[in-house]
Amino acid sequence: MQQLSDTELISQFRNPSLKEKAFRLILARYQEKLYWHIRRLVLVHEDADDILQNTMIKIWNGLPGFRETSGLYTWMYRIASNEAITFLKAKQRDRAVLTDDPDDIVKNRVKSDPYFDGDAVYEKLHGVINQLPPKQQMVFRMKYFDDMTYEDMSTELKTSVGALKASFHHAVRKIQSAFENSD
Amino acid sequence: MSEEKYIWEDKEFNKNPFRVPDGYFDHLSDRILSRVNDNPVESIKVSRRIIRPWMVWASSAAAVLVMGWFGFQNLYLRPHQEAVFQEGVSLFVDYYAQELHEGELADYIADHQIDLTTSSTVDYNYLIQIEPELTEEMIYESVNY
Repeated sequence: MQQLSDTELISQFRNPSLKEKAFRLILARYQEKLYWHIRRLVLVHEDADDILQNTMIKIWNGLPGFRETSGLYTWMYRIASNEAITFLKAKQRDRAVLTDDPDDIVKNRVKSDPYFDGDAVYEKLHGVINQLPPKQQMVFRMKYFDDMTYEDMSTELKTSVGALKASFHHAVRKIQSAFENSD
Repeated sequence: MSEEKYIWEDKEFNKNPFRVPDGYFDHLSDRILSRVNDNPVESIKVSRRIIRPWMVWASSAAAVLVMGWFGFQNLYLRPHQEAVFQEGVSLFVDYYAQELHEGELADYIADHQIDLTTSSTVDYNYLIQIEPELTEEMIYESVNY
């Protein structure tokens, strides 16, 4: 059976009798990808789980008004990113009133997560990626971590393959430079 | 074709150091759907029978106080901040229209000392109409993490 396109799923979602079924299909298609995206931003599983669920509630509520000026995944990705950022911002505020070193608090929190096996190199890479401009972050994460092809990214982000390659190249160059300068 | 190896990928490097509890993804859809159903977007219809007159007065008084506070903010606090910000946004959008690279855009924010922390209080809907990615850029930058 042919798989429904994102546009068809959105259309079905707007039909009350098909809404839940369509949303289940959207979840099946994207929940795992979004989870990993969020997880790479916030590192800790429990936090990623909460943020993913909040993201999905926003998607459920926002999908009727989605104007489809970007691909569905890109739109969901942005909501997930903003949810994660809101979470990190709140964490930042919480840390501001604590007397312990904020870096230690983050490291200890990650270390206490039984589902994280990262080393110092990964933590450094995570920090450097977060310093990149958002578009480069998105392109780098989609290409490097999600193994998306430039063609798929081009469809999703409505950006030319050439521009995506340039963004990825710039991101890699900056990350490499950060690693070289710290050696 | 061999895959490119990057400088950070030494032999110890683990590209995906994350794990999830066993079976986590198996029931995720059900958990999300149950939460979605617990948070319907339609406003909850409050029965008129449980609304008492004092509730109407209290909510009216609260509304007046809130409106007063926002009025005070808008009349006395925000105009200057907003004018500075709008000027920054205009420059920002003009600059963006020239299709500059995102990295240069970030440099532009820094060079012009646009205070994105204060701008985060401004209504982003205005910006979304102009340029969604610009808005996202500002949200990210305002986090400064």
